[in-house]
Amino acid sequence: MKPASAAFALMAIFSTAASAYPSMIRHGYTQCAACHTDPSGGTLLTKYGRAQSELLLSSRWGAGKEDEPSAKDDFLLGVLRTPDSLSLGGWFRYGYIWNTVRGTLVDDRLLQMRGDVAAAFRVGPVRAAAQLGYSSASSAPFTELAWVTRNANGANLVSREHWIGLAFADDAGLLRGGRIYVPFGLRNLEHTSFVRAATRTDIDQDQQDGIAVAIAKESWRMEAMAILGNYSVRPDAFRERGFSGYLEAAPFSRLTLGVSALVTRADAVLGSKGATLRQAYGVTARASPWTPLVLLAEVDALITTPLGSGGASAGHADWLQADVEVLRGLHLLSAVEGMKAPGSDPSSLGLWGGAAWFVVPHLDVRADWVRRFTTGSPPTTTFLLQLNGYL
Amino acid sequence: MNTCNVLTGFFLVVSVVGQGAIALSRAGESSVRVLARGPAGLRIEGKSTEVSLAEEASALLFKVPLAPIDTGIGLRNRHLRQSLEVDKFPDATLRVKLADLEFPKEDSPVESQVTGELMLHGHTRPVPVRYRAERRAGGLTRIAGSLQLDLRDFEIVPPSYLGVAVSRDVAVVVDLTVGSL
Repeated sequence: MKPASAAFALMAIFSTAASAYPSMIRHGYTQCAACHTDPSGGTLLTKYGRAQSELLLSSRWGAGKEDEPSAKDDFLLGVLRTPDSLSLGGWFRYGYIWNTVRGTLVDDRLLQMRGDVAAAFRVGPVRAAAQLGYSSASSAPFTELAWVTRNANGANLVSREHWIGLAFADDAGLLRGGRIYVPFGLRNLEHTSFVRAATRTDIDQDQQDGIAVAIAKESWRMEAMAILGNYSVRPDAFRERGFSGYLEAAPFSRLTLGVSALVTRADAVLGSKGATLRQAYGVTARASPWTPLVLLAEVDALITTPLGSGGASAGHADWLQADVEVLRGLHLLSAVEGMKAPGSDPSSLGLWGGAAWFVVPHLDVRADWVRRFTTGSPPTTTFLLQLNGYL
Repeated sequence: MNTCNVLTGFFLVVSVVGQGAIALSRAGESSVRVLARGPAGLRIEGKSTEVSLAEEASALLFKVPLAPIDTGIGLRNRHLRQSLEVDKFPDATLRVKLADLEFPKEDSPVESQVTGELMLHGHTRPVPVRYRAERRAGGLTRIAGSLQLDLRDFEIVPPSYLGVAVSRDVAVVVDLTVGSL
């Protein structure tokens, strides 16, 4: 791999990041729907979720353990009050990235990573949510699957989710349709990790249009989605259609075990002229044997089959992460990941290290170091500093 | 199997074994767990190690101070204490008639169900209690019991916070080891 292409690939490691915290299991939260408008998590916060952000995630700066969260936790620091039926929010994220190949700096730049606003409402059993954001020209390669506008050489509007649905069974279930985050695996914050990239479930842009049903009970949760295609992708031949879903059990309040499956078919894929069947099957685990420590693991088997022209090829993607909260709001993060893409010989290994500090509610800084090794290519190293805010 | 898979398996095993070890290490301690449920699978668990047993002339009296129950979030603890009006009603007690109980013998634990009188929030109501009792070495007896209660029976308003309301049905699990009965 040439340095230029390596730099391009490294940029893909970090584009926009979202807010998904499967590590909240350290506080006994095995489910997501109490804090997020998406029953599988990772999206707009509910009012309850906003409060938990201050009570459980961020440094508290002298606030008492039993103090109520600040009114500034609300949307726009509480300036704009919203009715209970309406949740508003938004994200802004900037970063600075340095990429090196063989010890040589090949790229460094300021990244506009995210600028989205979002709204969700609930009236009776009706639920709906939508995001609309700005994507700069420099982030186009990493957001185009969520584009609303079609400006190939400039900035674009993006919408990662927009759906409407009906809640049932006392809010334990939700049936919805629209553009939805694909239910598969860990919805981890490191959205360009091998497991997210290889399964195309990057929460930054890999949402799909379809119909999904989610159920969250005390000791288990699931979501299954009929994928009708990503309608931000053109032409239609490249749209994947099929099924994705997960089932996760929580035998203990701080341990979950899950399985995921994804089967999609597209008439065409990049690098192939024919129809292709893509399958991924995964197992996941989240565990917090000690409150400051959370372990997140995912192992996925990948199968790609060119339909009508040859046999299937197999691969895998793996992720194991340790998150240690050394001080309230300050996390040390490390991870090891592996990947072998179906149909390709090279295998890759990635090592992650870093720290994240939730300085005040809804504002965090994060530093990451990522070193990736791919057979036949020089090792790459990425440093990234990020500032992330939630409106 | 590559290195990642081995590591994943290793950490999973460590986690599961760790959970088991923690559970085992707590065996023999007295504990109370209060399990409440919210919408969309939300589970709230309050814990305390403060539970006592007193023997009266014709009944056993279990007493649980309510203030020390810890739900893992300080503010939630405060809301719980407010909901239970702990300042006015600091304890929950369960009175079970001796005549209704079966007592374990050496190598012969008993499992049964009995109706006790639960006093909570200033109200006393009969509640079914499932229990298991077994003799331990050193003349000790381990008692594990559980009951379900409806908050409305005790005129407790189910706590609600920022749109998340606790279900009126609450489970209580008690585990304690005492001297000979």
